[in-house]
Amino acid sequence: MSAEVMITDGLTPDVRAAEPAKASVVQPGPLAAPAVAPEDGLLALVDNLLRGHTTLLQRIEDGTDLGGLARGLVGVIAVSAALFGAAMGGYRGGIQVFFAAVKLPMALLLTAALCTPAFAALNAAARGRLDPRRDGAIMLTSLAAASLLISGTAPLILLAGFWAFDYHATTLLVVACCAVGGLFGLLFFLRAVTRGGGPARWWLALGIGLVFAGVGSQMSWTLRPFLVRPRTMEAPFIRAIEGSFLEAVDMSFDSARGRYTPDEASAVEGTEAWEAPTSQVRGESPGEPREAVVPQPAVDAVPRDDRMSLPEPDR
Amino acid sequence: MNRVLRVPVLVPALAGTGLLGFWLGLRTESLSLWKATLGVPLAVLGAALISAPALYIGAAVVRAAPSPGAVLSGLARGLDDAGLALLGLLPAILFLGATARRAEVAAVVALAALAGSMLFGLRLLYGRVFPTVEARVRALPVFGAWAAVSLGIGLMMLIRVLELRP
Amino acid sequence: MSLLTLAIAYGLVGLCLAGWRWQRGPRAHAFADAVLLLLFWPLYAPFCWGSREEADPLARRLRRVEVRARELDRVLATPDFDVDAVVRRADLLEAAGQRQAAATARRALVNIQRLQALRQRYADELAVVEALQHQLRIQAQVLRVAGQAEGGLEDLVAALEARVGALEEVLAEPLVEAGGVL
Repeated sequence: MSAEVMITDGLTPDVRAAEPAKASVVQPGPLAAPAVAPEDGLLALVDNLLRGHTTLLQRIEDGTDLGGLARGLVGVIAVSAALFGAAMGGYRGGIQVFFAAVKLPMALLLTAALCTPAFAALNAAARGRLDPRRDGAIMLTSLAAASLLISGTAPLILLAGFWAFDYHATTLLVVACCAVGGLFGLLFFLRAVTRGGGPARWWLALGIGLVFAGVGSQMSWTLRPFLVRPRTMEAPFIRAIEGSFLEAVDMSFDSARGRYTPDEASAVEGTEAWEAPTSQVRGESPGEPREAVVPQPAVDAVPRDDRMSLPEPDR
Repeated sequence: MNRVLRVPVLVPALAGTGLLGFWLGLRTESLSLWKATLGVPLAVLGAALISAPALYIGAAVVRAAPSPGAVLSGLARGLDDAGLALLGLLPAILFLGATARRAEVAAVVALAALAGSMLFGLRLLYGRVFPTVEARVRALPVFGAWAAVSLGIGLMMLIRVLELRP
Repeated sequence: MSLLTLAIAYGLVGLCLAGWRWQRGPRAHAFADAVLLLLFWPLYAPFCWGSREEADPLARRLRRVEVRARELDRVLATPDFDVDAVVRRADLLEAAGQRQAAATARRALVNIQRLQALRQRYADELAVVEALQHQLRIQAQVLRVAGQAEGGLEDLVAALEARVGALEEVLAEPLVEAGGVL
């Protein structure tokens, strides 16, 4: 057997067998069985995602053509998330179909882009070896599996539109569909993470789950709206950034307890909080300059689809 | 030598905590940039140095301790693991911090990431310093208590160095 | 730092990477890679610069062997495979007069010791492989600097291939004797 040794700038020379098909001196045992061949086409990839988890996991483990796999998975995510996004946009119709079809894949893939470095770092710390390709492939495969299942529920959203479901009921339906798809993707992710062995697998999975949930929530919040009320006259591509998802949740908790900022209180008639002492106004303490607040549009303007609990004034 | 990134030991720990401190100083007007950049690594390493002997002593008392050298190298590696985790979390921290309207929210996100990284580093440290099942079972109460106290010391040092106010 | 500033910085890095990929690397998939790098570079960048393992079948085989060895380590670390615990259980069963159960436990002990021996053999073989890799690296550097090196590199590569094959054989052995119980 002959072999070429190519000297590179790195410390480890690249070793290539001159005739790879006859390279082995020792006949390989079962452990060296040929790697899983790359799938042909998107349809085969889709089938493997839905049914052949072991095949895909083995391919990721072997590192066979991960670049091609990544491109295919991005394609699957883009198409399936676009379908579900279009279904959500169809609730209002018009340009919102296009907007939501573009934004939902972007939200998923940008979230993955921000979370994959964390996944790779935690995995590297636990396993003692950095392998961002493998970790990126696991992240993409999990997302692709989730997106496929979510897109399968798109007809439910269309049905909700046809039957003129209430906006809030449709919102809950969308959340339920995403939860089902998300669970499918999560199960794949857990299987991939715990498969290779090594310490702190469940801690790693929990950590990445929290990071993904946080970043995903904020990304969706930043790129909203996705589901828009049918009577909305003008649906923007992206709303103006008005703080984070966490701050919005915090604001809602305060609103539910009757504590409003001066701007919110002025928009709500007869609210007691407007007469409350200054110290109870959120975000201020006596004597400190008030933080500059972005002016809020009046409530009797076009209804905002993301406003959670403010009552509308009588018309 | 840190085998993952092939850099000297503690470089990932210093880099991760230093960059986090830099971000905190940049995003929070009430914090001095240099104080934050140097203060976060100082608090983390200071807490580790102060509490390191207690880990060895406690483990030795329950007859689960490896050599002092192994404890020290495990601790250094645990710090590097936490630093590596922080480096990986930086994109998420930057995004969540940049989209927050209030600086306090950005600071909370950054500190939560720091706490999470430290917990992850502690979990890996536990597995390395006590490699056998028997040693882990014996050392769990001691290690748990030591970890809680170390985190508390780190938090107090962070509050002092950064002059944080709740 | 505002979201806009962050987005601009993100986009600039993506643009640089996309431009680099467009200029270098194989033409196949260049456009798709460039677009994906521009939009999602923290996720996609590692895929654009292929790892040596993907191109090197020997490294791939070594990696598969490492995965199997890690599985073995995980199994041996579980409480069921603790030799002392199994011996104590067998002694207790024997003392309690349950000879059949004690015999079963002792058969399990044989399998555990076999697994441990397998792991030790793997460690020994791996040490040889690592030494050969180290030697190969040194020889390659000498060749690069001095233009010639003592001993043939091809012989080293052949020896390395043979050792990796031996590693695969070690870990391909059945882990449990026929009729053995764990």
